[in-house]
Amino acid sequence: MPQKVLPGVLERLDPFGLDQLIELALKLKESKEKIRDIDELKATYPGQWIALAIPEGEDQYEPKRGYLISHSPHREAVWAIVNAMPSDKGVYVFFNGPVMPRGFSVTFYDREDNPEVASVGP
Amino acid sequence: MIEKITLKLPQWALENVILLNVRLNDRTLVRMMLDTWARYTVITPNIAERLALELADARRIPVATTSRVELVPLTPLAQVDVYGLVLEHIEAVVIDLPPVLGVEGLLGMSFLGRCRLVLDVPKQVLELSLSQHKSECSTVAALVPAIVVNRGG
Repeated sequence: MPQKVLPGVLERLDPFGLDQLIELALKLKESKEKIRDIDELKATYPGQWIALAIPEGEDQYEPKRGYLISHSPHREAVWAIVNAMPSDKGVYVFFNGPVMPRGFSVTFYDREDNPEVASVGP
Repeated sequence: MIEKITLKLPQWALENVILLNVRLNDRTLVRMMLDTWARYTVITPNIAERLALELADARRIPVATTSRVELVPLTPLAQVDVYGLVLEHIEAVVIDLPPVLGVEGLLGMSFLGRCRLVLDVPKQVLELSLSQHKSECSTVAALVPAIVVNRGG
């Protein structure tokens, strides 16, 4: 039963349907068995969020291979799987698609006071 | 301990935003956007859960979004590791960034303010090193726009 495989995940994945939950659980099981080339995964799952476990010996910042933990167009579905994993497991999560598509503008502003303008000099 | 890193930036980054792979608390590697206008480093609630951060008693600060002002948790990250340049106790706010951004966080001034940052646009090189002045912000030539507009139309 999925509940035994991924306790606590079922409720969080409910919007995505039980079928997808089962599929993700199966992929989690499968992912434990083989190491995958990240370029291959990128070609296979365009436009999706991908979570990988980084094998020993791989570059810890730019890994080329990994164990596929989860993939989905839905970010929350991937993180539900990742966050059900033991906390000591190293993971790499990224979106395999266009970042900030054309036409998007983004502003972040979190100052509580008035911003100061830069001045000339050391 | 690594005190300086030099990164080659893709042309794409110079026309859009600079994305970095960042290791958080030594076990979670995610893509973050370098943002010199973000006062704090930003992480999503998913990452906060992964790192088992206690947010219930965290200090709340107001953050203005496009539609309203929200009170969001401000919490320290034990370790932020950018390609081997490691800083500890970095304050981060927890905000649910829209998935369309394609990033899981922003590397803001709570990290960058403890570094020397040099962005050499013609050479497409980003240098990040530990500041010699531990208590001061020494960001140099921080030319990264905080208002990001895709100039490709």
